[in-house]
Amino acid sequence: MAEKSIAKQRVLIYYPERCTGCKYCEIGCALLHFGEINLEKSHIHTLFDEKTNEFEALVCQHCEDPVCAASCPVEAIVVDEKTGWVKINPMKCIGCKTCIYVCPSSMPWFNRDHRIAMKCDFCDPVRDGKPICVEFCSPRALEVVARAEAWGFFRKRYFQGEE
Amino acid sequence: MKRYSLFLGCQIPLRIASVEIAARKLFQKLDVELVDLKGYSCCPDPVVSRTMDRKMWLTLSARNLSLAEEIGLDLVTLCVGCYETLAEANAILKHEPETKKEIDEILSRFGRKYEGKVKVRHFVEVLFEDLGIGKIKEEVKKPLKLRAALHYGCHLFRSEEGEDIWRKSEMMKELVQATGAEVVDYGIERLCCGFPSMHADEEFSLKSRLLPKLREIDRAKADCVVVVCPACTIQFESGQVLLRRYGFKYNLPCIYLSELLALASGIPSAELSLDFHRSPVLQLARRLE
Amino acid sequence: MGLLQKEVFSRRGINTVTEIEIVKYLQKKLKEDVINYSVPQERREYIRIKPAALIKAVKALSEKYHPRFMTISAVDHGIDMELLYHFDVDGNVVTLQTTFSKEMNEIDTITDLMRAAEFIEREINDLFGVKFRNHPKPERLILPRDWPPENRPLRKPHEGAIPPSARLPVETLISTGCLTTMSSYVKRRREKAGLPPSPPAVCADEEWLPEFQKIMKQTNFDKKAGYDWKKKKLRYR
Repeated sequence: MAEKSIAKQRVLIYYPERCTGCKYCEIGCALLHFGEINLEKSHIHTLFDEKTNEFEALVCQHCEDPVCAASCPVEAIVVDEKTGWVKINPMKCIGCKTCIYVCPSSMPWFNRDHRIAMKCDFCDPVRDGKPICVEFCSPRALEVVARAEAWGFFRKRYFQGEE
Repeated sequence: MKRYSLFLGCQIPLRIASVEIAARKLFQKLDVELVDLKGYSCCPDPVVSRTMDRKMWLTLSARNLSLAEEIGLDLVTLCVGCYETLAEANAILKHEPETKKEIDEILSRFGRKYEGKVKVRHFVEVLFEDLGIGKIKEEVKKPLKLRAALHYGCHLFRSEEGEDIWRKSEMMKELVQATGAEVVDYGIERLCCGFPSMHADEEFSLKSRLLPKLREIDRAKADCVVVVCPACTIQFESGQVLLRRYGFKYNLPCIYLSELLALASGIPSAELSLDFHRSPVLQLARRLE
Repeated sequence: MGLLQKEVFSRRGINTVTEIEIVKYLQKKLKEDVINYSVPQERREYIRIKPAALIKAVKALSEKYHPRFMTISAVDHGIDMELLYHFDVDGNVVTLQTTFSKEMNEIDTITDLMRAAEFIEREINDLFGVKFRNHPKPERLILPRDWPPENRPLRKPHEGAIPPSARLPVETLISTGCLTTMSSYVKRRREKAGLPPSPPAVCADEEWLPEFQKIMKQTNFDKKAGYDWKKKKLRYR
């Protein structure tokens, strides 16, 4: 039962071969959550390497067994039971930054105005779970898929030949 | 004779009117009638308006689309930003019937209604698909001896669900090649010009987005860069002026696709008022004649 | 309210007034000064009224019921100020919400009706800088004596919802219908280039502008952005 619901959970995937580096996803995220056009206040980050001409993005995977939730000393990070998305409770967070250190991609970031850590909440409930980064991306480099599909996607991209 | 309704947008007629002139003259030569939409407003823009107030954004787009539906013609835009807004709003109104009911209610207070019959096309699509590359090649009276670098822009990749995102960029490439110009590859065609992040962080936008593009285009020894978006035009032209503050001197002409095609079809550069541009486009056009 | 509770209350002589009764009574007395209301749970109602009708509303409540004044909360929304007046009416907590602009910055005092409001209004004046008209003793209450008078600790800057870099385009959009202004310079250059002096857009023709501006008002975007129709500017640029 739990396996099935994990496989159906909606997550984000990113196609670097389609990204143009326009930062609309970051601008949309910051504008929606904080009302400011500020790239530092976005929950998603895109990178472009001038030397290798490669695109990459830091997208929160809302892991099945999140390390950030396990490491939080005050249990401020919870996995929503129905949707499976991982959220930080801003009232409980004490700003120790442990989650930032243990996350494999360092997805959470420290908000200096509120002095707590914040991370992607999948635009839920502010947009009913329809992420604004996906809507703003013109080349459709960001997509929302079921986790089972995402597993196949990452397996093909990163583990070719390593079955 | 093919007929379309023309959506001009805000930026092209008010800031770089030479694009409008070139498009009108070009379509006249190709025997296509462009009907003006009376009383159109800003599309509105797909970033600030869309985030701040989705309902207002959808209402204004639906109003613009209803103007085209009144005359019963498909809509063609010159700007990719307008294309993105209007096509996105069109798709949302088709797939979300509850939202459409809300918007219909507001529009009905002004005696307008939108039933979803208008197709939104960008002028690159219209030139390539409806008229065909053969007709364009016929119109080219004098092949341009030009090395052109292409900048597609981010919004040109927008397509309906499941379509190939390179569809319109391939069309743009073939259209430029049809004029006789040589398309020069410089490796980072896909990279954004940096216009969206100018509001967020000007230095980052100029140094990490615009500068690599200018550097690679310069290294590939291109004569100009061809664009399809007024925002990219503004970024390339004003951005080169701003980069001089940081010590980088570039003087690359930035020409719009409609102007390039108009020049190739024999329209003299004196008729196109290319002095609206802030980069040496007029000098480039004179050299080609 | 459960059956047992109702019985106990009536034995104690407490009048069991329902939430919707109070709302309907105020709507009848104030007519269109009541903007809207909400009853989120049992014995809790919020009624939004216009600031000019505050005294009338409190008087109306006092005439029929015996409201016990509890406190006033203040919320600073950047360009507007919101005050919430909480009363206890027979076990119901009734909140009257009023919002007024920071440019106006004043509201009537209710001290002559509810004596206990005197202190809380002085505190709100100290912390938020809101003036209460006809207050009997408008003196400093909780700030230290040497605190500079122009510094109101909890008053937020006069900022609206639109981020700074987008303010000029949004202002131009609401007032003219396009993101750039149609100036006479643009018209002259277009004419010289052989085009009609202006495109057939809303910004160029007075005939279509009213419809566009009505859409702005009906989708409430002008209120969200904080646009002043008289001055034709955003209130905080």
